Amino acid sequence: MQGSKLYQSQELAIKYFTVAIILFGAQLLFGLVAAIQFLYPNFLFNTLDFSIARMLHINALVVWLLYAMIGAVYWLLPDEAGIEVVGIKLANIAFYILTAAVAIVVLVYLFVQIGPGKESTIWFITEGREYIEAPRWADIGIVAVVLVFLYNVYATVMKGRHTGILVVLMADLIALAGLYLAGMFYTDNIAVDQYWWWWVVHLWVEATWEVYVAAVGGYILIKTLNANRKVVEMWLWIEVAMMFGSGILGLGHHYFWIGTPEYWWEIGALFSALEPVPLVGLFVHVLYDWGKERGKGNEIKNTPAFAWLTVETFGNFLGAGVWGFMHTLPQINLYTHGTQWPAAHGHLAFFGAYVAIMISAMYLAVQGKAGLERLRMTKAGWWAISLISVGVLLMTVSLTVAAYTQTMVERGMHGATWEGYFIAQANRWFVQGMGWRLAAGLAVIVGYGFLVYDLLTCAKKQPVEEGEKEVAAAAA
Amino acid sequence: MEEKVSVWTSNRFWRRSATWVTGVASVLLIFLTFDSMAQMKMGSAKDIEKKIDRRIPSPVVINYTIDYKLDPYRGHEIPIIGGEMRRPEGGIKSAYEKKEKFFGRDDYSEKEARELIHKGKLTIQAKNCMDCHTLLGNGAYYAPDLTKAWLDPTWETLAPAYNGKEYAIAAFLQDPPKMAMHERKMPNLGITKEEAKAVVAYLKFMSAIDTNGFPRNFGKIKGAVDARK
Amino acid sequence: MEYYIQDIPSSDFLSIFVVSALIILFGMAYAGFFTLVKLKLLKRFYMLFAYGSWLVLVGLMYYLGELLRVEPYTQKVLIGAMVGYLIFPHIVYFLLDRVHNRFEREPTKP
Repeated sequence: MQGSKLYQSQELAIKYFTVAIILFGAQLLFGLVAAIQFLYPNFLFNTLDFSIARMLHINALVVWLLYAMIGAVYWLLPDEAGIEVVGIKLANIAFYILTAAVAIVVLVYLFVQIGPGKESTIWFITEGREYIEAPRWADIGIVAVVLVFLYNVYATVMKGRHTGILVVLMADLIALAGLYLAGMFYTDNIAVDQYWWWWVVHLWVEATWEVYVAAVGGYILIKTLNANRKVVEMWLWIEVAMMFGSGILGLGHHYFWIGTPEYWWEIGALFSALEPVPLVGLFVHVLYDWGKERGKGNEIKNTPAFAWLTVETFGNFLGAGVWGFMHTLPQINLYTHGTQWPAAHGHLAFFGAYVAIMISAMYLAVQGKAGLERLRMTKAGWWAISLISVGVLLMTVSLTVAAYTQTMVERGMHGATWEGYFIAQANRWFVQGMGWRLAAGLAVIVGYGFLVYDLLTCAKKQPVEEGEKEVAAAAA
Repeated sequence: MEEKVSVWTSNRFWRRSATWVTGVASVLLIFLTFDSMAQMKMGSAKDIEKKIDRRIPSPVVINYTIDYKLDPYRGHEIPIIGGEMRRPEGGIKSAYEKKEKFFGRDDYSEKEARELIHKGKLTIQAKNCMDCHTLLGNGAYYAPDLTKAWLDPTWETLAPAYNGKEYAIAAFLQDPPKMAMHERKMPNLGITKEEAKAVVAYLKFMSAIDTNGFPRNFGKIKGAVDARK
Repeated sequence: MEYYIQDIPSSDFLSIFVVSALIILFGMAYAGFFTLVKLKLLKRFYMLFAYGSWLVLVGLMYYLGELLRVEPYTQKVLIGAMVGYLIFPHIVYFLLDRVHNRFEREPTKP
């Protein structure tokens, strides 16, 4: 690829990234509202109640990550396959349909909010199931758009080059899309409801998304570090084995208390102990690569993308590994289930495992769009990465303090009753935890401002290098 | 430079391993899912007549008293429906005998009870309960867990003033700010009288689900864990 | 009778959270020291730190088992995890070395 000439598919990827970053902003905004409500419950009471703010917070998260994920695939697909994406017109139409649908769903969430207890509410307003609240009509629309996306990917790979990264992606995306169907039904039996609900939520974030990230991470390593493709592709398979091997039955750690049989205790405990395995593997791998690349003189071609990839490694290890293991064994989960623990874990794990790498992919697109040989970190870029990473880490630590207080007071001392719940919520340590969470959240929002600014401007603010000056002079 | 390709560096070996590992894990999961689904099927009124315990009992449990007691056999608390009896292999289990009035009746048929909880579940989803509360421990953490809300001591204290706790909970649901107990109050979600009744039925039904002892020590106020020793 | 889940006094909660976090962190320290020494970025002497970290991990894992009052099954899982932590970085390093040696000795195409 020469200069700033992009494949049409890559132009489409940029559209996906743009919507993703806007929704990221929405996620932070509604998260801010919810965080304020924890401290000042009358804030926007009856206008934008906590349930709505929180629903928008987590839905915006899921949807922007999906947008970024689809965007990253449209970005790398023509580059990997070596040809323009097959059915790119259809892909463009699908993008507008999806975006219109998302806009309608958001407007309904914001202005209709809830409905009467009838089937029609499930179909047109909200399904009321955490993370996958999107009403049924939107579910069907999402499936249709995803089918177009899968068609693009499959048809392109069939026609173009079959690289290992693409083969893994093809297999993973079909599983990712298929799992969504597990969440598209209604049952009166809440235990069965949650059983399948976890298929979507867990098998997305702890299995198929992880493999997706491994594949895209491999591509980014090739692009930024000139990593050896054969090595990357072989490792990808090892990672798939580790992630699916520990992740699929890791589902068990969600099946301790929802009316499921007791054997899930044993399965959940075993696979919870196994889940850090891919993380340790990844850690050794990253250190190895870093150690080997050092002194080789291989330049990093896209510093911001690489920096975010580094945040990804550590964030994933801390968020999923450390914060996961703290409350995953059934013996202790009995007391932490349904407290702020999952909130603490979720914030860092989502950020570490997914947000960081998607931002990394966006920087790759910025570089590609501007047609730069190298993209360096700007000052704004440093502020963005520092404020966001430190902010999320501090949010997690504050939530952990609150979570510990809640577990201790509500579960340990007061027998998990409503009274116990409210005594814990009023505890000074809990309130302080929430206060610091809000402060750290504000830092993340400032960091977001830097990030948007940097993504828009960093390509123009690159320091001109010696070699390039000469080229420019020669050209003139 | 010819060298024998070791299996450890063979792309094909790892691709196959990944496929096998994924396949085996998936097959195991599907197998376990079949078993779990069989065990998690909603029970019927017949099961209750025959005193057969189901993890998710028939909704006709709303006709019975419900309690949450420590079963020495299983080592954790279990729902006790309609009074307790001794289990042959040890410990206690539900007797399915003691009834109590629920909105003035204790003879809901299976069909009526199912309709009631159907509406209750729809309302719970339509009003987005799960984005403030947790149900079976899953959801948001802005409001108390509802898994055993029916059994919460708060309602016992309010029950006399309303002629029974089902009426107290229904009144609360229809206008939560009026009965607000804390600064962090539940908004008025426009829940109708019918919906409120259905939601209360669902809460009662949910408290009869066997959750393997979650939440632990429920309702034992003050020093619950340490006091037991 | 041996129950799967025992009552845990709330005074033990803090220790449980801290110990489980430390287990993962020491696991990371072990993997880190191990890899860096193998790469010859640290002196061989630091291998003591690697195995030292692992020994601390073993102690912590034992303590966690005590705190959680685990029954025989979870004991085995925890023992398995200790051993897994010990050998897994070896396996990963071994594979990495083999793979890099094989592919990177081939003439690289521009």
